[in-house]
Amino acid sequence: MEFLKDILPEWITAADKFRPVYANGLFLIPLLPLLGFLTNAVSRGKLSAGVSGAVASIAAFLSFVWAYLCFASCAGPLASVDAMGGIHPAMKTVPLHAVYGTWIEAGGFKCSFGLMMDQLSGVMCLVTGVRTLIHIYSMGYMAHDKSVARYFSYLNLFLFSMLVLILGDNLILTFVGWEGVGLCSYLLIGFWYEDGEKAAAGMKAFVFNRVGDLGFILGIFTLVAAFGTADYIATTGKIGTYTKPVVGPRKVIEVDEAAPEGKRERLVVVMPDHPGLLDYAEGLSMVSTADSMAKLPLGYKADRGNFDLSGTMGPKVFPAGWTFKFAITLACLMLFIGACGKSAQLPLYAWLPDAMAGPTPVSALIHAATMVTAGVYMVVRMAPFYVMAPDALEVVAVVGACTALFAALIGLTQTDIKKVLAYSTVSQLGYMFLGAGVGAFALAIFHVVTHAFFKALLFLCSGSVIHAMSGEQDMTKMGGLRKYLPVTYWTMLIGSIALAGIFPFAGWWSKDAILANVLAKAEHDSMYWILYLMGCVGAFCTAFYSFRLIGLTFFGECRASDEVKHHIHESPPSMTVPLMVLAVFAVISGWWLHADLVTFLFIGKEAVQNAENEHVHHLNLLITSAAALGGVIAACLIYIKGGKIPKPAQTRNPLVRLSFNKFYLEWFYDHVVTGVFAIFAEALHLFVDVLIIDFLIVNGVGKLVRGAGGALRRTQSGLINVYATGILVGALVVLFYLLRG
Amino acid sequence: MQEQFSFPLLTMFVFAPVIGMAAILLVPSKRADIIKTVAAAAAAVPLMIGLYLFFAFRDTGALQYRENLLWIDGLNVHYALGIDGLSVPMVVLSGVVGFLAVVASWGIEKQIKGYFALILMLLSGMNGVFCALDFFLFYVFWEVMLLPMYFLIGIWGGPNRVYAAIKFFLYTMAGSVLMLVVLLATWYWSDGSYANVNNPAELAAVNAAKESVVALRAGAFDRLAMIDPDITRVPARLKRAVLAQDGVAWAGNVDRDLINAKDLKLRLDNLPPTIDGDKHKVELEKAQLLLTVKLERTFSLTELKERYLLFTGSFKLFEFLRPLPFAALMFVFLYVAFAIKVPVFPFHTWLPWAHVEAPTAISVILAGILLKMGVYGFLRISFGLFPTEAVHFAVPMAVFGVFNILYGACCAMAQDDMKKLVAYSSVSHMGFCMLGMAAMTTWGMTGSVLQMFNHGTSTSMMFLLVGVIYDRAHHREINKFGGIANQMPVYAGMMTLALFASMGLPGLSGFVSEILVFLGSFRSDMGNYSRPDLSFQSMTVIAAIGVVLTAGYLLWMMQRVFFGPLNERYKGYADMNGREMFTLVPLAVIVIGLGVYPQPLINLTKNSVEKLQQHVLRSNGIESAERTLKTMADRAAPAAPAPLAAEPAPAHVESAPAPKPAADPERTSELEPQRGVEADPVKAREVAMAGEGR
Repeated sequence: MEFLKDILPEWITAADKFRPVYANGLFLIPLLPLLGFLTNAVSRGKLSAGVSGAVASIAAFLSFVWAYLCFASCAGPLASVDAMGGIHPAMKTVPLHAVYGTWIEAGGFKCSFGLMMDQLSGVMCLVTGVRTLIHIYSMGYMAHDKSVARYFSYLNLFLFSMLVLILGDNLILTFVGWEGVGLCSYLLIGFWYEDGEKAAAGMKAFVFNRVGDLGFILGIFTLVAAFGTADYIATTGKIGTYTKPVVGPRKVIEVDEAAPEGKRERLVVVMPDHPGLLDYAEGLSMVSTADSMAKLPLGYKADRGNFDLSGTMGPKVFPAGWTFKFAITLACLMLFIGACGKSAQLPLYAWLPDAMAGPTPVSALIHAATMVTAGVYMVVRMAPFYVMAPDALEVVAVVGACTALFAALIGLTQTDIKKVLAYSTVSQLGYMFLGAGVGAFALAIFHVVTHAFFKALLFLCSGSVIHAMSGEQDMTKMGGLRKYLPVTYWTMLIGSIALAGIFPFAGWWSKDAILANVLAKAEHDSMYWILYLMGCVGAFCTAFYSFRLIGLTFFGECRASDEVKHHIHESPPSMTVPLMVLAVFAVISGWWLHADLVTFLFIGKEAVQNAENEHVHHLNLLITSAAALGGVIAACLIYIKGGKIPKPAQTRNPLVRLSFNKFYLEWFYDHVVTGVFAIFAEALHLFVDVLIIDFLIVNGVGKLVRGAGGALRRTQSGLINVYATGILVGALVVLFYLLRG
Repeated sequence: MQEQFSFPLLTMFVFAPVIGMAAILLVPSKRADIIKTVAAAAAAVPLMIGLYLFFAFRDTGALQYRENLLWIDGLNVHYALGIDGLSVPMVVLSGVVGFLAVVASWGIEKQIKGYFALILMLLSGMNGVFCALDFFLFYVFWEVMLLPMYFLIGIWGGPNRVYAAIKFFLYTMAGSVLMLVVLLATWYWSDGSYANVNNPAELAAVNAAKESVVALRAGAFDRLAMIDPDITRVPARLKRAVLAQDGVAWAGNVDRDLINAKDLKLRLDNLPPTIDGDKHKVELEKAQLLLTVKLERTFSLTELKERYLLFTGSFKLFEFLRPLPFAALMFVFLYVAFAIKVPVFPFHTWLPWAHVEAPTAISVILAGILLKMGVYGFLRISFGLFPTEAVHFAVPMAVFGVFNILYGACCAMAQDDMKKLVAYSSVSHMGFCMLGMAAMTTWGMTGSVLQMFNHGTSTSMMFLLVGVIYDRAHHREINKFGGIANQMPVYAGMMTLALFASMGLPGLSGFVSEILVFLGSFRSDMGNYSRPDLSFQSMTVIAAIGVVLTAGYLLWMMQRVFFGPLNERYKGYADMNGREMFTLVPLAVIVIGLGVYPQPLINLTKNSVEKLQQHVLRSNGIESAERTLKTMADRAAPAAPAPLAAEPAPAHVESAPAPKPAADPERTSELEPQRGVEADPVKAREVAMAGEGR
């Protein structure tokens, strides 16, 4: 990625002398959007729409520029390793790291305000750079809204949270950003809260995310319980402690021809010049590659991780039988639940399609380009742990593949233009997790990058279409927009090709590489054949629905009402210019980055993308290209040439109905789960609280006492003969007792 | 020795509101403005003191700002005040919330004089509870607070106020009666007369208690002797001050006892380690010496804490019942007394009623301060006096805590009344306090204290906000609102802040306490010492579900009240006015401030919490799990891999396979060569493969 550095003047990047400046200045990256947020929040709508948009955009842009400077300074090898010397060796790996103070410290647990930018977070920061374009686009799109300042303040708050998520140097800080983006997503989805349904969609998003967050915090608890800290560097370092022979120095397999049969492969230890944080993961995955060559399941399966944790972490903290590996696997699975929530994977995906209720730029920024990839980021960030937990990785891969196929199938029949893109996002996120699940962490991030470009492009194009159609989102009421919206048409076509995965557009490079890795894995573990097949069918569906979208929207006769037709116009330049910029990236980013990005994320990763995959690559190329082209051709035949207008709501075809109704899963969530829970809560309150405790026990005791008092009161009648009788009876009883005794 | 004449800060803190009350009673009832001003001024004094303490207090783990006066001679009752890290957060909270509640009462129109007099009396009672160091005094304050609360709900409340007031009163009285039993029983037990001296363990307990008393008195003697070598000549006032500083409860002839104690202390100190090579004889000698010491019965919480070993033996409630273990019985009694206040299921049903019927400001005090008295009581009294029982009952307490969290959340989901919803959310949130406390880890207990504070502020905000809308709409039915956000944007913003704080959103105060409670309980090992044997990990996982439920019911309320199309009825409602903002903004600042930078509050309390935890654990002979962790963290901090082999951590790891330690030859042989893997990778690989094959 040296080219990032090359376009900067020499004096900025030449020496290491600016490193401390960049490191200590990391806080500026999130601070600038925060200031933008405060400005817009405090002004309380007194600024004009243009000014508040400009404030937000400038804040986003400056933050991006600063992030770029910081990143470019650490792209490429360090001039001298000693610059970071004298610290924990794992620290060397983090090119920029600054600790600004302690946030929480109690009883040996410490969580600091620390930001770090390494290769991974640097790339993610730049991806978030799409934000500036979306800010500018928003200035045009939201110009007529009455609460623009609120909109831009939320947008900046979102950026702040996202940057904290990415740059935080410990899991807790990441969680802060994690919840922060959830909050902003809630606020932005429900931005037009006068519409109760939109507000409800926001609520749904937040609650689904909370379910994921539950997993996330439990994962954090497990890791903190096992390591005593949530710090990335410290925990990764500790894995090194427990698995010392494996991590640190990396191992490469060397074939020795001279050696006797069966002993030709041997591990050669390579000491990296400047190991990255992720190199720990790589070091581990190298061993797992060696294992897999020996027909062993993926991952680190040697017995070293199996020592009993209950003896090591203080007296009797963990139940007996908890091994280190078990704890790591548990933590990874829990964290993955969090990722499922945020990145809309099965079974927690249902909020994302509803989230399209928000303004379209928000859908592009939050629900396609950045926030939803946070889960992928987190899994990759935790890669050193995941490779220690092959079972967890397997789960990641399976969930990813299932989601990729499931959402693509739903996308086939949707008629709402944004819903199609939403399901497509869910599906693409599934590919990313599939990639991470087979150990191709760098490729998952590669797909995040390319997807960010083309999906943001597609959403913004759909926004342009919706803008032109006076708010209409139903594709069956569009058609023939090619002539009216030429810029939008061409850019959206580019986005769709990229999404469909046609060579040489961006989507092809990343998706194909991920599927190639799945195929390579399948040679050793037949389960991955199924996953590969699902991925290919998903690719076919992706190509099909993206061209179905193009066909329905831009080709054929215009089906809109005359009044709408009258208003159709191309969008203003503030909206079309970002489209064009993004379209350029959607074309070139895959080709441009494919050589660099992977090696950049994992130094010396070529060794792992090993040559044995050569034939795999060819086979895969054939299959995926056939799938993608097949999908495109089929869609073109049906929707462009055939001019078919789908009516899935009226169709009798059970498969179409199933797909159109999202396999009834969302119906199940919306009605059965919430309904059952509401009834349960109501019953619990009425039965236990009101009836048993309050009525029977508490008031029952009161009534009993009062009743007893009332009964006894009768004896105080004031009649002398009653008293005399009482005395007589009493005397007789006493007499009887004494005589007996 | 100047500090001995220091300003009686805590007395001011406790009694300033009562002085204000007396002043109000002198003002004619027509002068509402004067009454309100006086009330605000009187409530401002604790606020100032609270703020001063927030910035000036340095938590050393010891009690500070102590005051001690003999109150009732024959019973050895003292007027003893003092604060440590456990009480300071509550003192600050009480000062802030109390003052804001008075300000929030500005709109009261019915019998203003009586209202403000009572609310000030209420504040005094609560402040007293958080400062009292004498069990008797604690009890008195506890009861003093009850009376004004009863009238405040019963006179100024909503339509069902009488029912709610009586319910509140009877519930709390039931708890108080049990506390009274404990109060008297511990007093009788505190001189060791119920300990069985024929039992060596109990004899040792008595002697240990005596020794600590002697040491305390000798210490007091030393300090007095610095003023004047002949301590009988020291002025009585000075003497009182010194005794107060050392926390020596007192009755009888001070000088004689001090001199005797000093003498005895010298003789005890001069005992040789062995007599004729026999340690046992030293013990006998010591016992002989201590025979002359007579333990006074005492209510002093500090001394009772020192004498916890004396609370042994059994207790017969009725002739026909089996005798019950004394300490366990007392702990259960205290548990009920405090659990009612917290409130813990199933003693919680007074709370929704009291909240719903009470006027806004009283709800604020109720949720903001009153509930914390229960948890504070657990920490100060239950854990202090009965540390062994605290460990034995850790799991039941945690189970009730977890149940509270989930049950409260479910019930909140079923509510239609905003205030009732917030009330049940309090039930849910106080469950976190119970869980963290029972976990007996410093993280959990610190989180518990923090949660008290943070819940106090965020729930106060919510009640104030519900009051705002109630003042305009005169009802609180969630389903009858809709679209309020459009009409009252500032109000909606504040409510959003309060809800998210209560939900524990990172960056707001609730998050820090919740995460500390969860972290603490997830890593607690109390499950091994308590019955039934439940692991705290599983309980934490279940409790964490509450996080989702909380988001559910709060957002659902938000949805129904604020979003959707504006209900025509509410058109034209004014947004929040200056006075309402005045009460809410400080709380909002605290909520955000402590979310971003919680360390001041943690520092305020952590040493005392750790000390209490050590007291509890040590009395059970348990080593703190976190201590181990701390040493591990220290070891790993400079973890340069190079000296790793020399580090104890891996060695620890290797020797730790629980079922079969080093006895497994295969294992040791397998581990050995791994160290040299860099040197001989092929061999290491083979070993790894061999390990795989097994």
